Amino acid sequence: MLGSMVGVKILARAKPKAIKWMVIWLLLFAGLRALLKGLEIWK
Amino acid sequence: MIHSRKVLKILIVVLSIMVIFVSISAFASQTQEAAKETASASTAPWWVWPLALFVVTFILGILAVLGGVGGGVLFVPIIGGFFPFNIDFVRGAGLLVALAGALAAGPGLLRRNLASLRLALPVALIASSAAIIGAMIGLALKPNVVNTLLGATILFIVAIMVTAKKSDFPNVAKPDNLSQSLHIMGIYREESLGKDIEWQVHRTPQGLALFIIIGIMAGMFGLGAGWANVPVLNLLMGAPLKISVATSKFLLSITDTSAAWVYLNQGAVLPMIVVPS
Repeated sequence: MLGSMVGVKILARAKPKAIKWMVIWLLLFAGLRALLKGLEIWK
Repeated sequence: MIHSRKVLKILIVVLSIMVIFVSISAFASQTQEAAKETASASTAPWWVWPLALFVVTFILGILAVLGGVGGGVLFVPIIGGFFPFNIDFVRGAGLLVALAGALAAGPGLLRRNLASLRLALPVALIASSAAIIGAMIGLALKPNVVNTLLGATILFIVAIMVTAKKSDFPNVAKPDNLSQSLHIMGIYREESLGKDIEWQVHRTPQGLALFIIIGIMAGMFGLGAGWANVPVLNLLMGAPLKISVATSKFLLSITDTSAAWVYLNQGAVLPMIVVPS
């Protein structure tokens, strides 16, 4: 919750390009995690 | 704007009261259970885990706002993977953490014109009503199949986002009739460029239709589906990336609320895990 408040300030100042890569890395992590869980490699 | 701030304040107060109430009623019976579980799983003193949780979730909170996601994507896999807690408690905590994070970030995002109420409300209405249907459908499919499909879908979205051009500020030549009648448009100050950006959206009916699917999935898995909101708002509807991320984070405060009740009712919310987070 405290992190969110800091995050808002960073979001306002950060470059959109940086945000784009941030989103891509987060999605990549989430996607791989779900896929590996589905395939029962990482339970 | 002032009205929305009031609503958010009320939401925060209600949530705090809820958390305090649940803490009092659940503390007596469940902490002992969790303490036993933690003690049997590790030899570290008990205070190490809340402290570690506080530090880790502080960093996760920052990342979550920047990515426009809630707890399902970051909190559950990381805390569930590296901390000695039962996964059900982690999921319950993840949901409340996502909700608290979204509520904490909401006022700041709205004040900076980054989160758009006009964009969020129709989408939230559709997604949360679809979430109820999703919860009713339940888990008809096998979890393995669903997870594999989910992973494949997210990776597919990643591939689109990597190859998409101009996703920072998509070019919307002409807004459609629906978005015009709902007045979904706005201006925000891009600090990194030092100028004001005007934005509007197109393909609103298609976008809203996709949010039905997102809502059903969110209901089925009990998550806020922040990871799905951003690409739809940004790539399909053509909202600037920062607006999409901020609106998605704000949306979570609405969509997560319904799921949070289910977990609260089932007793999956442990104050010991939720409070430091």
